[in-house]
Order: sequence, then structure tokens, then C-alpha cells
Amino acid sequence: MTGTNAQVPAGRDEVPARLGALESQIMELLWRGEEFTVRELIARLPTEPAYTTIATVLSNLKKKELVCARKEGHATRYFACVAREELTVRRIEHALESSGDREAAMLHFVGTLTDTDLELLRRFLEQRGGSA
Amino acid sequence: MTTVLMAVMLVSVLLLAAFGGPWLLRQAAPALATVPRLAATTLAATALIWIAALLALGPVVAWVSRGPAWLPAEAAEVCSRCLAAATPFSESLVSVAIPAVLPLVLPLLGFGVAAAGLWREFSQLRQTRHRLTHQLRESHEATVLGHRVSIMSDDSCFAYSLPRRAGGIVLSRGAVASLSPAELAAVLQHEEAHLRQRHHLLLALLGGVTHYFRRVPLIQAVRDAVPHYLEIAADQSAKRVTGTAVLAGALLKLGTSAGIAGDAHARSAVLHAAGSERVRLLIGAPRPPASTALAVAAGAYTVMLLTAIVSVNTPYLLAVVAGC
Repeated sequence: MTGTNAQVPAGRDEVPARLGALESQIMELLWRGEEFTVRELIARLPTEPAYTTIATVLSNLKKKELVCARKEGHATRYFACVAREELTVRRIEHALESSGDREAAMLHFVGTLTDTDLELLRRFLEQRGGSA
Repeated sequence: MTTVLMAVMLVSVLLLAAFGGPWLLRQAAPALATVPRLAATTLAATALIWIAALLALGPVVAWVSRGPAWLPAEAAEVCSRCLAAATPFSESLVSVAIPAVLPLVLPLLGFGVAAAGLWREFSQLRQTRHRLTHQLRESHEATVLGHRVSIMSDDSCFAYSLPRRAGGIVLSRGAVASLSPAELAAVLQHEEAHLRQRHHLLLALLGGVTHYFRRVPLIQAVRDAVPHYLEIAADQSAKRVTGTAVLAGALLKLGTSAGIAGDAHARSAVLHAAGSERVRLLIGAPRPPASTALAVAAGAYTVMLLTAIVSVNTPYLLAVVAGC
């Protein structure tokens, strides 16, 4: 995050944002990794919405801490400050937060592995000739 | 044996298990990991037995209670008769100046606390699963290698299972794309084993009953260990179908891309500094020779606790059946 307006992404203890239709379309564009002004976003959206509509949606996304903004001259450029995968993980984790015992709600395939485990697995597979 | 001696012994056994149990379980882990389903079930039972033994202290103390009668005269008379009929020992030289009804309330209180924990656990699980089901609206169902799964439109790699009614097996699009067909089969077999063996239910029951006792080191150690043994049990099921190398490959791929993080990881890393038993067992690492003996010792200890509970409660049961 380089801009003066850049915000810190939401912490894991906050409710992860759910996206409306237009918000999803905008996030899809921003998740491509580029930065856009409001007008550039309007040009890329299929429905050509009004300037104020997109500005409002971007403002909402900023409040949800999914989008960050930075000034470039007179223009404001917007970019995604939370990766798509991160948002999914946050949603799942948030859904599990109310449970005192996460495992009882969901058994995760790699839930109990440590870094040492991964290293042991790597060495084991190397010895077996990288058969994985 | 006098009542006082029995109470002292029961307290000693409980304290020893509460504080020494976690060490014993850690040392016995390599042997327990070879019989993961038995280990998970026995450990869960051990936690429940420990709680039951704690509650059995109440009836033991009641035998030496000589405090003021709080109950109405007739009820107190019945209560005294039952206590006298249940006491397996002659008149005790030691007495405690509390009404006998107080310690007798302890087991009832314990059942209440366990029931409250269960209620809390299941109501929270219901909420959690409702939210997870909401997340799954963004997924689509598909049959992958003969298994019904929900595939989430997500490029990150993860796989997990919910109880069948709450959604069953969930895979991300990224996991499906990154795993080979054989690795995918291993993951699906693993998750299917969780569902078939009803691991979610066992964890919910354990989590619920022990929730308000979780500060006891033994209970916490069991709560930490049981999910681990259930993962090993699911691994064994997958390994039988796909082989060790394929399962190891799937674990490595999903484990690496998952970026394991957070407190759970830190705690797990401390407990398994030399690698978890799950992975050590999978790759065939040798196990310490003493672990089998210690696993047997842990089992013997559980039997000892069970014997204590039976020896305390049976006289009460017999007295009640015989009409005091």
C-alpha cells in the first residue's frame, strides 16, 4: 500500500464483507491487480453505471476495507487491498469463530500440520524419487 | 480402608491424572497413533471418566458429613438412612461439619454443567454450520471420483468436511486444479472417512461435555489430542486406497499452499517440535520403544479411575435399589 489514503485491511476478528452484484463486478476488475479511476472502472463495466453510483460503491468497499485508494495528481486511483483468497479464508474463519471448538464444526485436511511436518513430507517424497 | 482414606486416594489419583496426564499422553503418543480410532475414543472416554471421578468425590464426602440438617426432618431421615445404607465402611473417626446434602449436590451440579456445555456446543455448532452453509451457496455440487462434493469457486487450495447434513465434503476449485487425480482421491477418501466414522459428532460431544472443565490440563490435553488422532484415522483410511506417497503428496501440496498460520499452528508446533505423530506415522518414522508401555500405563490409569467411580457409586445404587 503506497497511497496516502491506503487503509489497513480488516482484521480477522471483524465480520468479513459480503458483496453485492455491482461490488462483485468491481472487485473482479480490481482483483486483476490493476489500479483504476472511477471513469476507467465505468468504461470496463458492462452496464455503464452513473459516476456517482460507482463512487458510492467504491466508498462502501473502502468502508469494508476491501479497496484502498491513492491520489495521483487530481485523480484518485483505486486498488484491491484484500486478495480474493484472503476474503474467502476470512469468511470461513469468521463462520467458525463462534464455535469454541473449530474442529467440531469442520475437519480440515491439513488442519494439524506444522512447518516441521511439511519439511518431513518433502524429504520423504524426495527420498521416494519425487513420486508425488 | 476408611472413608477418609478413600477420599484422599481419590483426590490424589485425580490430581495426578490432571497434572501428570498430559505428559503421559505426549510420551505415549507414538504408540497411540498406531491405533488412532481406539486412541481417540479411549481418550475422549478418559476425559469423561475424569470428570465423573471428580463428581464421585461428593458422595464420598457425604459419608463423613455431620453438619446441620438442612432438609425437613422427614427428608433428612430418608437421606441419612440412604447414606448409612450406602456407606461401605464402619463409622468414620473423622467427620466434616457440613450438611450431607451439600456434597451430594455435587454430582447433580456436575451433570448440569456438562449438560450446559453440550447445549452450548450444539447451539454454537448449529449457528456455525448455518453460516458455513451460507458460504456454500457460492459453491456448486459435483460428483468427483464417485464422491458428492461441494466445490467453492476459489483459486486457493483447501479441502475440509462438514457433517454430511451440513454440506459434507468441500473442495476449492484451486485444490481440484492443483491435485493429481490420485491425490484428489486420497483427499476424498480422507474426508469420507471423517464422515463415515462420525468424527464431527465425537468432537462435538467431547467439546460440549468438557467445555467447562477445559482449564484442567488433562482435559485440555485430550481436547487437543483427539482431533489429531481422528486425522490419523482418516489418513489410514485414505492410505489403504491410494498408498502412502500419494497421500503424502496431497498433504504437502495443500499444506504448503494453505500457509498454516495462527495460534493453533504455534501451539501445535510446540507440541510436535519433531513433527506430528500424524506425519511421523505416515512416513514410517521409528517410534520410541517406551511409548507402548506408557500407552498401556495411560490405559491402566483410566481403568483405575473407572474402578474408583464404580466403587463409590455402586453402594449408592445398591442402597437405592434396596430401598435404603
